Amino acid sequence: MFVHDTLLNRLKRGCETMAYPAGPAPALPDRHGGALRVEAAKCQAGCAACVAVCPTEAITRPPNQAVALDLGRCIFCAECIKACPAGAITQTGDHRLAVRRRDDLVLGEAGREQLRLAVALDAKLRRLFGRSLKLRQVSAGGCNACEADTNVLGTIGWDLGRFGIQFVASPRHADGLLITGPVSKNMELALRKTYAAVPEPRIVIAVGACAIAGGPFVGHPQVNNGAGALVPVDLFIPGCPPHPLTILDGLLRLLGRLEDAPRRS
Amino acid sequence: MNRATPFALLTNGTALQWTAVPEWPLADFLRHVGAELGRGERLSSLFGVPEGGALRLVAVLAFDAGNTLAVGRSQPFAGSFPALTATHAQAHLFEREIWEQHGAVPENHPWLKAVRKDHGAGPAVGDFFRVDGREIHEVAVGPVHAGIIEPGHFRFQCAGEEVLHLEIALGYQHRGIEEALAGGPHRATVYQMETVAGDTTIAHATAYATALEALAGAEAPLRAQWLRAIALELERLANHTGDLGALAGDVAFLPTASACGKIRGDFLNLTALLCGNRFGRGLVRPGGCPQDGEPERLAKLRERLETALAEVQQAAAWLWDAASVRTRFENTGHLHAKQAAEIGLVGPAARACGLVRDVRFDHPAGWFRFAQVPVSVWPDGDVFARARVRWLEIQRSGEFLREQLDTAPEGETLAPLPALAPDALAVALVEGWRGEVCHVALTGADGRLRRYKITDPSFHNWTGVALALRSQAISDFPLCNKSFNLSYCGFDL
Amino acid sequence: MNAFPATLLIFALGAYVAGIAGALLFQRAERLANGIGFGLAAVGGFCGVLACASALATGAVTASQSFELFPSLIPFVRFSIHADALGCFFGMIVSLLGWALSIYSLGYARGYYGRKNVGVFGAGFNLLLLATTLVFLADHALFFLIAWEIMALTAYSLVSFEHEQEETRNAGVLFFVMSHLGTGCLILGFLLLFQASGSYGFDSFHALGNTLPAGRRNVVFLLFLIGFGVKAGMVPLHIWLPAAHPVAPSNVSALMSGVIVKTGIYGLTRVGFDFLGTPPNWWGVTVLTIGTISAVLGVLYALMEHDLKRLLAYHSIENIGIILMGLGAALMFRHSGHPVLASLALIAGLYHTLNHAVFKALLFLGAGAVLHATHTRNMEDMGGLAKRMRWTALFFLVGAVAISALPPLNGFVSEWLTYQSLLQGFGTTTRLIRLMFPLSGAMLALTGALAAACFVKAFGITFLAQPRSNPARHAHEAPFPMLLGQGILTAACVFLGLFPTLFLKLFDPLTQQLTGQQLSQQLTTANGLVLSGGGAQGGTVSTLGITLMLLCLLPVPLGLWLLFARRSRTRIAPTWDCGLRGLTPQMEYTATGFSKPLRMIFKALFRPRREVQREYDFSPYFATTLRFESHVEEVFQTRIYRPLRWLVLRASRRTRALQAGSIQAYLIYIFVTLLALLLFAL
Repeated sequence: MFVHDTLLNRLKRGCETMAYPAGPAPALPDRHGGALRVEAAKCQAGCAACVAVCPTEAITRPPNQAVALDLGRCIFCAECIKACPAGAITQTGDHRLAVRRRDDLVLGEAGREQLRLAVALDAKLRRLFGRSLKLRQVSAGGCNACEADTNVLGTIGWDLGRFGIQFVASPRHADGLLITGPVSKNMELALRKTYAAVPEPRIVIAVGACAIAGGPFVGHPQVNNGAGALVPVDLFIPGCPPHPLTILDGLLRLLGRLEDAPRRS
Repeated sequence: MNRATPFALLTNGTALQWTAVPEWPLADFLRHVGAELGRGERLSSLFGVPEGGALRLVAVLAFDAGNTLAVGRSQPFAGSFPALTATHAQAHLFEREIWEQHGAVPENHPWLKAVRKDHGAGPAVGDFFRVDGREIHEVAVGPVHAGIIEPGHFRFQCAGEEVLHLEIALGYQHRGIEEALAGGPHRATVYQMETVAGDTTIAHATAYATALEALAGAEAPLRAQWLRAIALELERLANHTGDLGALAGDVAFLPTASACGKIRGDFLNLTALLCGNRFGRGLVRPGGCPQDGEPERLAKLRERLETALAEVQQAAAWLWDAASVRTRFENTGHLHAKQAAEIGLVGPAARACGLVRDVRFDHPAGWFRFAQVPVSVWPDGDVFARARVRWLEIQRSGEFLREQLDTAPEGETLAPLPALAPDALAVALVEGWRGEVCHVALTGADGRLRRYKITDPSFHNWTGVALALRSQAISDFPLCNKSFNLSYCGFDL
Repeated sequence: MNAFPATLLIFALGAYVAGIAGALLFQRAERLANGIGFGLAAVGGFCGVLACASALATGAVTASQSFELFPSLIPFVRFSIHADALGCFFGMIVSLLGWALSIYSLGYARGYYGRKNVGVFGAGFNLLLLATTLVFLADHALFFLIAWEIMALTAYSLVSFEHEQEETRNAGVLFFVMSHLGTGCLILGFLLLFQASGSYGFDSFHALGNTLPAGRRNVVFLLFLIGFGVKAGMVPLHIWLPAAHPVAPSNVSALMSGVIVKTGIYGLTRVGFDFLGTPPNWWGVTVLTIGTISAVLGVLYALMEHDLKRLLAYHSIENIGIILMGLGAALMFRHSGHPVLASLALIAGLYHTLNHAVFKALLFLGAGAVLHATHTRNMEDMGGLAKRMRWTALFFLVGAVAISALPPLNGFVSEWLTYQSLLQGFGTTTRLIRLMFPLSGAMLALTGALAAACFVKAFGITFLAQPRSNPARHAHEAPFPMLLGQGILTAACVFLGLFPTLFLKLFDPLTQQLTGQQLSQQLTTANGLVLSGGGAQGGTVSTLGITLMLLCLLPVPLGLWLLFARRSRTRIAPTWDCGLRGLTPQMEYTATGFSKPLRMIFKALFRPRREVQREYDFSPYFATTLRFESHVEEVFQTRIYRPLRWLVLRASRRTRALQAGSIQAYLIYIFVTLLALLLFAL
């Protein structure tokens, strides 16, 4: 009988929710690589090997300037790491990737070798959302990978609900939007309407390379190259797709619920 | 294959010269295609190839029983053509797509309407089929749904709770993948292939790689083919497990729902173990697989696989044990085998109607030429059958992985890809977890891609969802929809 | 009777007469005819309410005497009226409605300007009020029958006022036939009473039943039950009601549903409690059973309707059922010698009579205002009217809450009293019959729930969401007199609900007259703030208390709003549509869709049929058209009345052979008849 079985099973297994953030974060897969570090100082003069291999034109090196890697455009294919003769681009294995401002994702020049992690919302918004954040997810051209890894946060292993964060059915009930996908032209109206339906104050979170800058589809006439073109974005979570841990880190960081998170007064 | 057919025959994952594809005047082409469909063969893909100001139609037919694929093309024509849909419903969306992409009007098409309609108006606008009667009300759902899912619009015609007609309007996800491929492959192409449908990364990437390898006249190293097969089955395991959990969740059977939600993640993590990405990004490249699995890695994979399989076994046992689940699953969203064959269903949805239809078995390519998976069939055609087929396939895929992990071929995993042959056509079919993924690549004289056609299984199967909903209670829609669990972006491209 | 109420009453009747004359006189000048006709009717109604209410309140009715209105020139007939408690009570109802409806009509009749003869309409309306008032006051069987017949004929003419439509003509004829079937029974009943008493005066019928042999008494009861039952619209004699009420002009519909069906209740009360003495048990059982069935069937059929006025008409059947439950229980208590309980049940039934008159008239007036604005009765073509007709929507909502028997409005009070009497009845008899009380109570509960569901539908589909047709889109609020008429009745709903103990005093002379009890003291506790069920098992309830409690809670949300919401910015955004380009009225739930689950649950009764027509050119997968229709079978219509009509028509065709057209044949008939009479005399 399944009733007996399920109860027994649950008792036997106990709580399966991870200890993070109180305990250590689960390890990323060893081949994942995590965040990138770009040291433009190591670049050889005139070298643009990485620029040529980047599929999303995330790396630029204008003449006589330092190389710049835009992690917002990056889909973490690691081709540039293989291509770089000087080892200027490295993987840090760090799952923390979320930032508050778009240009915090641009790496390269001295002092900006790594991304500048997100600071928490201001005190007023933190008071409003800190212990209860309801989000409406809008997939606007997303391939269902970012969506799936957002969804997984609701499973027993991650249990997003314990932070008071929940995905709600209607934007009317939401405090903000979580957007995935490059925002196809066909979803433009729907996204605008959904944003308009969220009561103020509201926040917008862009998850994945597509939602930040268009991802692999950047430049296609059928897409808007990310959510920023239509609505103001408060949090950028890069990745293709971002690991669930990265998304969770971003959400908690935004709410100022991580120990190491800097807070803006 | 001992039956005479005017089409050029080829096996899955091979190429032939464009000139070798038989060419007929438009009327003959349609007659031949119609005749083969009338014999019960299946339309894998039908698309237009612009030539000058005119248009050619190309049909790829799957002779499942004969284990071969058949290709034919029409002479260039301008203007309209008589619709095949009038007699063969499975051509329905293909002909709408041809009209939308090239402007050639399929005459007498019973429901001629844009498929994706980009720019401006958005796809859900336009006339929907309406049931006459003062008592009818419409239920309009989407594009933004209640859960975390992709956008699409569903328009129900209801009499009270009963659904009389469902029309599905998609296109919200259109990102212009096919259009961008002309003149390719480009630097971003393989990454776009991996995101045609993000949950089907391995299947689409494998189809793409196979098509390019066929055009280049090369084959991926054996160990790469083996790795791709491993990854493909892991992808199937993850998604089927997720679907079982979601189906359980839709009937409020929480033990299985919550267990499967977690186990699905475990399967995804196995893929991540191989390549670092939970969805298999970067695992498949034209020419092979960039990352090999060391023995320790594979041993770990094997070990964690056993745990996950044992857990899913238990979670599924609860599901089948609960009478309340059975009563909700049985006789809900029913499709006849005849309907399934006529609208050209593929994948688990087709197998759940009793159709023996599986690319791994009918059109083996890559590693599946050496190791086949039995076809899992259930005859009833309802939600229960679709859930059951998934469970059978979870078991078969688990068995397959156990066997294959023990008998790994040795060797390299990546070989450089030679240049693509000019003026050639390649067809690659892969049985993704939703069903047949069909990629057709055509090169021009310069050896660059001239036309690239992707057919996701969802393109065949959305019609099935609409049919399954007829005369159902609207409250059963989530259940029916989930039992197909089709892709929106794979359809919209 | 004191001079004051009697004079006022006669003044009221005089106003109606003047109204008839004035309206006819000035029929060429529509505005004048409207003003005079309905103005005088309003004056008459107002005087009538004052007269009857003051007579009941001061107890003047107990001392009232019968007096002749004017000397009769016809033998056997005396035009005498007697404003006793029962008559005054119903007189009060008709006057109250006459007052409110006449004011409403001042606005409503404008819709007929240039189309119809408003003078005739006004005169008819006055005549109907006059005849109905006289029905309640007549103290002589023949005078009663004359008033009854005038009432029926006037009602028939007014139902057929918009006779251009075939539906209206058919409904009129059905009403005419059924009404006369009833009148026939009444005539027979009165003749049997006359045979026993030797007089047509009502005073001579008093407690006559106790002296009649049991068989004849039962026959008399059955004749009156059928005769008055037809008028009351009790199942299965109800079929004319949902046909006739909707097609009449809305003020007439309101009068018919509010008052004229109540003449049946008046008659049954008069006969059952005044004329026929102590009843045998089966009378009460029969009335209670019929009441229960009427209540449940009425509301079930109402649920299936998407014609707003037909829906209301079916609710009249339901409410008549509830009233009959009270009367039936009272008869049973009377039989078993429980005068207090009998009085309680009688009060419950008659209080519901008053309440139903008020809220049903209110709802019909609302429906009339909607009809006035949209020119349709089909709810599927309405929607969104709350934004366009704010006041009408508010009034209709109050009526809907009242008829759904939700506290603190009047419907709740009288249904609560009905529950009290039914539940206390369980202890009065030991036989299996006692089960009828809880069973009826349960059915009453079911009725209440279904009525609430029905009015969620009626209000929601009619007034909420977006308009579903062009007329609804361009609907406008009703003119002031129409709103005033509705406002008066709305206020009445609130007052009758909030202060039931005040009104209970009016019942004292009534129960004193019929059962010899006065209950207002017993039913009132805490200085009139709390209503009590009386007796040891009775419950207590205070609608005023509930309201005050809710009002006390009001500062909480208000305070919260002041504290938090007032400071935040208000932004008006469109309705959430899932990001679609726009919502259309087609996406609203339809009335039929709303009630479909209930149709499925009660399919044994409704025998629903659905027709789906699918047409396609080539492929069965792609329909070119798909048509859906569903029907509900009206079992009484198809299983009883249609075969009956067929039989009658067949018999008529047979007997038509007698009408040969030759004088010789007719002479033979006369000869044979004479011969037969002679033989009979021998």
